Amino acid sequence: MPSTLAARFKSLRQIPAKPREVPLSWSRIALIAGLVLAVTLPFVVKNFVIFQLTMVLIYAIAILGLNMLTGFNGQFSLGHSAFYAIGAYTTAILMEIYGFDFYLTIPVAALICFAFGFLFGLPALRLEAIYLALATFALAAATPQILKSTPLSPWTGGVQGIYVLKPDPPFGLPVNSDQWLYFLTLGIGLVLAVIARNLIDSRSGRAIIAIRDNPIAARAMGVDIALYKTLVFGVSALYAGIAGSLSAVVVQFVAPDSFTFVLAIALFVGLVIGGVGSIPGAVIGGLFLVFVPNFAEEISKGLAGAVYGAILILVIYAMPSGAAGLVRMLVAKLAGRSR
Amino acid sequence: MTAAQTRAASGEALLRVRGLNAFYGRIQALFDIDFDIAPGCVTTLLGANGAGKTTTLRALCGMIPTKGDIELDGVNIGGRATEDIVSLGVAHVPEGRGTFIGVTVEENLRLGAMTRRDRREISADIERMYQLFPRLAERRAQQAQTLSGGEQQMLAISRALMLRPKLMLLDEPSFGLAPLIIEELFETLSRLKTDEGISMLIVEQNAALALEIADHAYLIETGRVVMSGPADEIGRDESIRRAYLGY
Amino acid sequence: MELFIHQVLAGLATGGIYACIALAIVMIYQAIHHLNLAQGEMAMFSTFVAWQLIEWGMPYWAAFVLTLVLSFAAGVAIERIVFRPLHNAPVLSHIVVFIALFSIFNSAAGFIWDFTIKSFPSPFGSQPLFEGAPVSAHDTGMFGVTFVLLILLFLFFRFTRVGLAMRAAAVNPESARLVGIRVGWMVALGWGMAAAIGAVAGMLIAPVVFLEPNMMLSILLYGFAGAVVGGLTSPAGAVVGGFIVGVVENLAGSFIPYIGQELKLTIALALIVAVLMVRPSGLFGSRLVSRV
Ligand SMILES: Nc1ncnc2c1ncn2[C@@H]1O[C@H](COP(=O)(O)OP(=O)(O)OP(=O)(O)O)[C@@H](O)[C@H]1O
Ligand SMILES: [Mg+2]
Repeated sequence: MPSTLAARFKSLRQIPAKPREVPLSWSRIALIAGLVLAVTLPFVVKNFVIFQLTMVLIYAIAILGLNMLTGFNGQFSLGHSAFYAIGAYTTAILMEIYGFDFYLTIPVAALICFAFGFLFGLPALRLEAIYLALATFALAAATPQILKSTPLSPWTGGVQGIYVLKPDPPFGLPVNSDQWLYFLTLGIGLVLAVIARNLIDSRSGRAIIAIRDNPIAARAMGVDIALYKTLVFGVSALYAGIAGSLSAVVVQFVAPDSFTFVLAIALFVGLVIGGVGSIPGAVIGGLFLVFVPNFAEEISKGLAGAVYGAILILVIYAMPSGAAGLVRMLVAKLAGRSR
Repeated sequence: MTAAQTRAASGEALLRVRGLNAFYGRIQALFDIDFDIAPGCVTTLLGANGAGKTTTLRALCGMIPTKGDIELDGVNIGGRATEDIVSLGVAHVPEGRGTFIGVTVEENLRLGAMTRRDRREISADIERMYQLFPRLAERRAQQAQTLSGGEQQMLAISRALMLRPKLMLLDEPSFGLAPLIIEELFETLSRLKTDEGISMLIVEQNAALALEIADHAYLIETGRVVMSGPADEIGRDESIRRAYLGY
Repeated sequence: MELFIHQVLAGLATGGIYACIALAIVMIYQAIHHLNLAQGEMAMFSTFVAWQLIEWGMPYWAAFVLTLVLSFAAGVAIERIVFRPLHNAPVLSHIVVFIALFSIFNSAAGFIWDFTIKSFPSPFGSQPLFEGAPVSAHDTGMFGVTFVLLILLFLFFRFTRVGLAMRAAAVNPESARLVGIRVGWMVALGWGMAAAIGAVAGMLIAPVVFLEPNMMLSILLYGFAGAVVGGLTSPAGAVVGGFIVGVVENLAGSFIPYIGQELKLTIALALIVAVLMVRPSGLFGSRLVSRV
């Protein structure tokens, strides 16, 4: 039955896994140039800019997680702020109440978020796209309320939140703590990106993508759809949780109102702007989330939200499939001309 | 003499297609197609699966991007919006029947007359459709998607007739119908042609049947017209039959 | 028991709010098969326009009607100007544009009318319906307006040419074009109607929650929940769903000890997800809309 709903959501499914890939040599050059830039920047810019760049990377990690779920597996989420919050609070609580070392809290946050994501993935299995969008959005809306609630306040500090101390650079490295956190985030981000790439390129990755593109065929091929979908939900939450954990020390503060649905929506916007189904696109998404709102504020303080919205619309006009889609199109054009 | 017959006598075509190219994205599906449909005549378009028959009908209705001339009654309709072409009197019975789900049989018929304003005439035409296809009359208040495949095909044809079309495009009208019903349907179609002078372009898998009712036939292969001629000649030609029509 | 009945009635009163906005949500869903995240902000903005007209001295009902007309036109314009160029873009990009509209309306309302709360008049009065009644005259009036709106919508879709064309365009756009329906305009019309219904909802809600740019945030979420519980394909279902959500929220707030009041949003939403698990198309939704 050719329903319009199906037709519309087909466009979600039709995001190809590797559509007209950027030629390898070019993408490698871009990658190396990006890395060189990423490593040198913190030595030439002010501490506040280093903080901003660190936030870019943190958002990029969370967007990467969202991408695994939405981009590659075709499951909606407008609620990843919840997992981000769990990661951030895990680190803050473990450090400030239980005296854990910061570095130890990252894997704990990752595991806890994986578990939460996996559990949330179970009911999500039964929900169709639009209902899943609503359910996750509800999760995002409920998160600050839950964090503020009385039963949890001995740990979460209620509305007040928790202050977190920044760790000093280890081994007497000749960098300040902002630079150190930047490089730490960069390192973790790169590892997570490589893991994501390998996962997507693996046999499991093909199953994950097959579930997105054609669940019926995937089932016929013997793919355990329920298991994969919940696992991907878990992995996606794990990425968001690591991002949250890092953000706790970078921002040095966690509070319920930092993790409202606004954050969830921001991550979603970052995903689309960067490019659904593109791993490097996550960085573009992160850049957008950190710098565009500031830019909008500079243009007009009172109307910052309206300016931001207008920029968002213009960006979508210019690149309806995100930055990655634009790059692919340009590459295709150039390739077509050189032939 | 009707206007159509006057034009026929003067040898003017109702539909004149020249150098028609059509595209699915960057893929070209039709290549420089030329054909004419004389007023009051049945023309059939034959070809193997994937030859481009459906694409031709879609191109005529502006449902896909095209290049080339499509003249209806001397007016170039190439590049116009589907809705505009329809309101000029081109009715299309699409592949897959295009049934509106969640809408009753009677409402489906009313939808066919969407571009008309003559309320009373519309109601009369609906009754006419029920006479033509009594099975639809029995099911007039039923949701259209609950009809059988064959009944939906009848509904699609009646919906197209509700436009009071000058030209009717039919994409495999016999698809999914029982042999007896097919025979009935083709009788109805040829009656519509003789009694009401409706011109038709019929795409059919069942070439023998189509050639029987058609005046003129075109054969297409991979998006190109490879042969055309009066239907009876094409039908008689042993070699064409064996090479293209497979019977 | 008396407390229970009292709370159910109070829940129905808040439910009326959700029912109203749920109706607007279903309206737009029928036209575009999306949940419009900006719906609440559009309704809020319309309400500010009405407030401004009343401030300028226009009588309530004149302002009401003029606001409806303006909102309808704005809804049509948004579709034609903002979404028309994007009709081939992926669905996720559309959602980003909803988010952009959300941001624009919220920010613009704050800029023009600032963020202090304003009171908005009720045409029915805010006194209790009768001595000691748990519902006010306004609650009852809101219920009545929602009901009338529902009937009008039913009549429109069932018995008018344009209503039929809109349904056809929604279920099968390609086929609709083939009978000469201007599908693009039908979608724009859907936007216009949704904006107008949203304006009605906003003007009815504002006397209860006060007017300010963020008034719709949680209401929209409850409205979504109501629409989804009822089934996105059924306007009547959406209204019933809105009432259910209101009652559930109220009962959770007063009967679940300790956390009930703090977490009533969470509890209401959890219940809704639970409903969806059991009935994935909502209580009254049809399964015609194929699986995605
Ligand atoms: N939406 C589309 N996108 C890309 N290519 C298409 C699309 N629809 C059809 N084609 C291609 O265009 C060519 C002609 O298809 P068309 O549907 O016109 O064939 P047909 O003659 O109607 O065949 P059949 O007898 O099977 O209905 C085919 O090669 C087909 O693969
Ligand atoms: Mg065909």
